[in-house]
This record gives sequence, C-alpha cells and structure tokens, in this order.
Amino acid sequence: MEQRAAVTAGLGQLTTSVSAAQSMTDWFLARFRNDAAPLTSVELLLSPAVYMPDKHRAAGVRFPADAAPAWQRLGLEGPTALPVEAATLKNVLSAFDRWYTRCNSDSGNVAIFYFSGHGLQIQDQLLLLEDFGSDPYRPLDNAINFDKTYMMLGKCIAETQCYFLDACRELPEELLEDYVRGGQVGTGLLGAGTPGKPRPRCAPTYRAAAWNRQASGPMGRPTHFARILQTCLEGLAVAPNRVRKLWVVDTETLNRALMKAIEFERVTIPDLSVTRGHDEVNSVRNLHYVADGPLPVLTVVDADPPPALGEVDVYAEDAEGKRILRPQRQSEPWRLKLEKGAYVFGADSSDGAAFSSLVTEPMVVLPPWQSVTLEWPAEPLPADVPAGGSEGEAPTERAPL
Amino acid sequence: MSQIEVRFGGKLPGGVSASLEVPLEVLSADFERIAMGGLPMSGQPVQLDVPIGGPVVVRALLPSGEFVSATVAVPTGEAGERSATVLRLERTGGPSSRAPRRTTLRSGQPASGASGLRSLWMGGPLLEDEAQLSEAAITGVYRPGKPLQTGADLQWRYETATTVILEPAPQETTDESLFDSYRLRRAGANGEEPDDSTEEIEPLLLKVDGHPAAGAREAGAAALSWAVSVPPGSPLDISLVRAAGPDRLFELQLSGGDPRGEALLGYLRQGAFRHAAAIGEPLVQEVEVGLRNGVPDPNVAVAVGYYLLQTGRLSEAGWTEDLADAFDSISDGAVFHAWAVLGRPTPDLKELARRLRQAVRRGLPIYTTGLRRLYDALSWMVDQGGELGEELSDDLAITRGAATRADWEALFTTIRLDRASALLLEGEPLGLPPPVPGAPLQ
Repeated sequence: MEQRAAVTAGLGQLTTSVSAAQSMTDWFLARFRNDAAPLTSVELLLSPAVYMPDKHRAAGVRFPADAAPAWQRLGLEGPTALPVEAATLKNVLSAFDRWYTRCNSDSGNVAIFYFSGHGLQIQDQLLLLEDFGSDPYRPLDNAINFDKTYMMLGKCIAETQCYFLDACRELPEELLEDYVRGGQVGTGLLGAGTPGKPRPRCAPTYRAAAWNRQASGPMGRPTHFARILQTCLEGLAVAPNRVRKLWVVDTETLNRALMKAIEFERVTIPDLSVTRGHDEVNSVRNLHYVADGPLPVLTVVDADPPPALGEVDVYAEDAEGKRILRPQRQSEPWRLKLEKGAYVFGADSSDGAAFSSLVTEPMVVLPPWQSVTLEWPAEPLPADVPAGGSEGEAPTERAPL
Repeated sequence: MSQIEVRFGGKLPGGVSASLEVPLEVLSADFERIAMGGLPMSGQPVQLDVPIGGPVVVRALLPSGEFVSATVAVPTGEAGERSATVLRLERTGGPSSRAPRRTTLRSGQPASGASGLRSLWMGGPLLEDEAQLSEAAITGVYRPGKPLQTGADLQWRYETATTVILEPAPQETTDESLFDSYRLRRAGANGEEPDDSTEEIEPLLLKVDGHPAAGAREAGAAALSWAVSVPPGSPLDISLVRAAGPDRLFELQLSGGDPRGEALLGYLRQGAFRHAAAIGEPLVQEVEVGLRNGVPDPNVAVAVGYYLLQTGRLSEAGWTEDLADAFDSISDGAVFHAWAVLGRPTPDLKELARRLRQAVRRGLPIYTTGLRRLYDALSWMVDQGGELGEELSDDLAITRGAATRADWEALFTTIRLDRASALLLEGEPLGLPPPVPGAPLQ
C-alpha cells in the first residue's frame, strides 16, 4: 500500500518517512566512503524517537555481501534499538547547531542534510516536524523553512553541502491567501546575523518531489526517493574513470542518475517526479566512492514503430552469449537493468511479422542510461539479416566483444 | 591512434543550432573516458582521436538532460594510423523507410511513433495524438501599462512599454509536436517598426490557458491560466511544448535567438556544472567585451549572469552594474547586481535596496531562478528590519504574490494566476491571424 503525505491539518504518522530516515542512516554508517572527508558524525532525530539499526534496508538496493552492518559501526553488539532525540523544532535546532558548528570548522568538510517527512511548498519549501501545528494560531512556526535555511547556509565554510529533501511540495490552496498576506512562514535554522559572509559553494539540493507534487513510499518501508537514492549511490551514479580502483559518485553524476532513475521508474510509480534546481553550485565535488564491480545501467528497449514490439520476442545478449529474454510480449518499451558491458539486442518472430529475426550491432551500455531502438524494416527482410548499415553507407564490421 | 568522425544528425528548430557546441565524450567499454570534444549542433562533423580500438561509446548530454549516444566500432590499426568512422547521429523520428541503420545517437527518451523532435532545452514534447493539441494555448499578450494581478489584491505593474504581435508560425516549424506555435514580432508605438536600439531589450509576458490533464478537462474542470515570462529577442518563435512527464502541462520552446544562453541555463537547471562551464566560461568573456563595446546580446548576458550567480562569482564580475543599467526593462539584471552587492565584504545596503526595488519595478524576472533570488534577497532585507527593511516591505509583498504561485521547476518564470482574478494580462485575444493595430502606449 502506498503512503502519501497529506498536506494540511490532520497530518498523520508517516511510517515510510521514519523507515527512510533510518535506512539512510544505515546507509551512511555502513556504506558511505569518502577518504578525503570520512563520516565523522551523524545527528539523527526521529518520531518516534527510536532507531533500530539495519532494520530498514531499502528493497532492491545492491549491498555487497561483505558490507559491515550499521550496528557494528556504532560499536554495538547487535542490532539493538537506540533511543534518539524526537524531531521537535527545539531538538532539531539544537542538533542543527551542533552539526553546523562541526561543518563550519573546515572548508574541506562535506555537510549532508537529509529530511524525510511531511512537507509543503508555499513560497518556500517547508519541512514539518513532530510538533507542527501545536500552536493553533501559529501552526507553521514549528516547520523548517528550508529555503531560508539554505540561503543562510551560504555562510558555512564547508565547501561541499548536499541537501536531500524527501518530502511533498504541494501548494495548500486553503492556506495560500493567508500566507500571501501574512508573510514569511516557518523557521529558518540559521537566523539573520549569523557570523560569516556568503561564500561560493557546491550545494546541490536533491528533492523527492517537483513543485506542487507529492513524495511517496510504501507503508513501513523506505520511501521511493530513499531507495532510488541508495541505488544511485551504490553504482548507478558513478562517473567515468576509476580512481585507485574505485568508482566515484560526484555531486553532478548523482543528480543526473537520480533524474534518470526517476524517469525510468515513473512507468510503474507515476507519482515520481523530476526536480530542477536553482542551487548554488560552483564546482563538481566527489561525494562517495564505490568499490569496483558490476555497474547497473537503466536500459530501455523500444521499437520503431512502437506497436511492433508486442509482436515479437525481444532479448538482450551479452558478450558471452548469455541471453536475457523479455518475459512476455508487450507493445510498451522494455525496461530492464543491465550490467555495464557490451550487448546485442534483437527480436525474433515466428508468426508473420515482417522478418524472422532482427539484431542490432553490438552496443556498449554504460551508466546511468541507455536507450535502444529496434528499427523495423519497411520491407520484409530475409531471415537472420543483421540490422546494420544505413542507406548509402558501407556496412560496419561487427565489433569484437 | 584511430579517428572517428561524429556529427549530430538530428533535426533542430530553425536557428537553434547555428553556433552551439555541446560537450562530447568518448568512453571505453570499461567506462573510462578516452577522448573529449565538442559536438556542433549545426550538424558539422567533428573528428576525435581515439587511442584504442574496439567498441567505444560516443555520448553527449543535451541541455534538456537527455543523453544522445551510440556505440562505434573503432578499427584497430597500426600506431599512428588514422582511420575514420562516420557516425551519423539521429534523434527519434517516425517509421523509417530505409533499411535498419547502422549506428545512431538516440535520446534517452524512447521514441514515440507519432512524435516529432523533442525540444533540446526542455526535455520536450511527445504528442500522442492530435486531440492534445488544444489543451493549452497562448491566449493573451501583456499590454503595457496594465497591471499583472497575481492574486487577490496584489498587483505587479509593469512600466515597460512595448507592443507585441504574435502571429502563427510557418507551418514547417509546427511538426515539432507543438501545442501552438507563434512567431513574435515587435513593433514600436502605433505599430511602427521599432527603433533598433530598443526592440531587442524588452521581455514579454504571455498568458497561457490550459487544462492540467485530459481527465480534468473531461470532468469539466476550468482551465488554469499562467503568466509566463519570455526573454527578449526578435524575431522569435515561441512554441508551447508539451512537457515530458506528468509534472507540468507545458514548457516554452524558443528559437530564433542565440541558443548558447538557453543551453547554458538548461545545463545549470539540471545541475550539469561541467557542461555549463564549458559553455559559460567563453560567454563570460564575450559579455564582458560586449558591455565594454556597447550592448551585448541580452539573452546571452542574462544567462551569463545566472551562471555567475549560481557559481557564486557575481561579486567578482565587476560589470553587473553595467548589465543592470544596459537593459533597463529587464528585471534580472537588477537582481544580479543586488546579489553582487550582497556578496561584497561590506555590502552597501542602500544600493542593495535600490536595486531590489528597481527589479520589482521592472517586472517579473525572465527566469525562475531570478524570481527566487529576488524573493530571497527581499526577505533577507526585510528580516534585517530597520528603515530599509521597512521601505522594502511592499516590494516583498508584491514579490511574494508571484513567489507563492511560481512554478519553481520552470525555466522561464511561470506563475499560476489566481482563478478568481479576472486578469490579469490585458491583451487582445489571439485570433489567428491576430489584429495588428498599434496600441497606443499608456
């Protein structure tokens, strides 16, 4: 069952967000690797205020078999429940101050802020906390005004700042006029007069929802955004070129992979939306390092013209001749995750299509995305003719795989 | 060393491709980058030296966020041998009447048989059927001297004066999956030909009516209206383009101007800093020279302003004041200079307030990022309190009216207009062909 955040009063407990926050904490503790800026601290606030390490793994995220669990990183003897602070505004402000002070101590620091929960977008994005609405006359005072916070964080000397906002951005009509008239809403986590001056920074914001859209996730399990984000960090978002046998996820490739992964999954989860940023980004910064190994590639196989895809058996075949067959004939594009490498894509027909077999030239598929179009011949082809050579051009040799 | 020849074989809207090169990379099957270059959007071929033989991937990221890529089999020759492989880059198209093609560069979005070209900049449209054509249309053009009412009792009065004529674009451009396509002409007072010195520096505000989805339309839901800022330029084709995905109804696609500014903003918007820098750095120099020698292309200058703003370098530029003053009808320039002042070690708050006020008087920034920054800076000033903060409170209220309804994902400033408001954008209904009277300036 999908869980959606409501947008105004009557907001209920979001199990998917609590699960997502714990899952992301697990991931940072167990998997985050950046030798230039290793993980040194995590401030975690939850509602309810209990963290259960390793209980909320995101489905489908590929962790290496030898990956150490989060509880081990915490020095625990097993995955025992840990009390944490409740996510009230007062507690968040205290935790934020500690986080900010540490981040602000060195320009080489990587500051990472992740929020999962209810959200609104009026003129600014608001992140709602546990005590949202506790004051009936100032219901949004206990919300975080993210845009205001982001602007003031320009004073932080950490040159790399990443923000992950796993929350809705709907525009509540019933509140609109109030806030047009009433002015600023929510609380900035940094106030006017904070010491320092604005500095250039690489500060991308990755959001789970586009403007006026909802974020969502399955009940009791991490949000779609948290799951997709971890998938990207585990390999989909790597940049070309290994560094000391490690693949690098940087701030730019992460953004691109997130957008592509959301585009890929939107066929099955229509709620997913792609966001566009207006962030301050003055460079590309390495964020995370991934051990060498198979890299996933989001692959979409389509046909031209499209309906023909439903009349044939479509497959992908790797360099060793291992064939992956589409489970069933469908006219919609075939979406599959392949591992980086060389493939041929083909289609077989035995029931009256314009050809009996069609196969592409070898194609190398690389992260994060590859689209493949099987072009149907206008005239029937003799059996087993490879799809190669455009009109007037010499055929190309089949590349060695 | 082998050589491959690459060219972009896609069909582009007229004028878009003339002077734009997008970064191109060649990747080995091991995902190592082995060559880089620039891919001319004009279709001119480019030669790249490739140090290895075997299959390689040639890939380019377009400003829309789409990849175009192809696998090329590079011949393995003797050292120093240069052999060429012609790679024809194609974008999605209709059913082919030819034999299957050998290698094509394809966009990341799967092809749709009925579709035409997706916008390079917007990740653009894929129309499924003709019925969708009528879901959105430009229905009004802002006439000077009338207020833009963004809601309730908030008004944003433009002080610029221009007469704009929209006429249907030639048919040949409408096969690119447009909802509607218009060609913009500008005229001076009373419909006369404009003075060259002024005709290119005034932005335009459009009113767009449309239904958010076919389902809503069937249910009898009222159309929504948006006000959309459009950059200056003449002549300029404006197309309403179906947006990819369900997030929004339309995007604007422009052609006719210098495409580099749009490409720069497209890369910035998707967080592709390397690509933005590849296009932006040469343009920084160009705009600096342009401002010294006269008036640079306003669209390119504004795009460069955003590039410097988002990379935190406006204060270093030293010419933001000139930019703000050179285009006195463009709000964005005043926003840039305000942020340049704000970034100084000891900001001149009076100058900052003056520029923010000036930006509001000039009207909506052309680009959404500009509205965001205008709103942020005004909020900051008002939060500081004092006399200046108090003086700016009305300007903040005006800007808030727009910011509250802004589509923060849109490239061009797009504001959902209040359903209850009558409008908003005073303009003649766009009968086609439209009447072309020279409206007296008010």
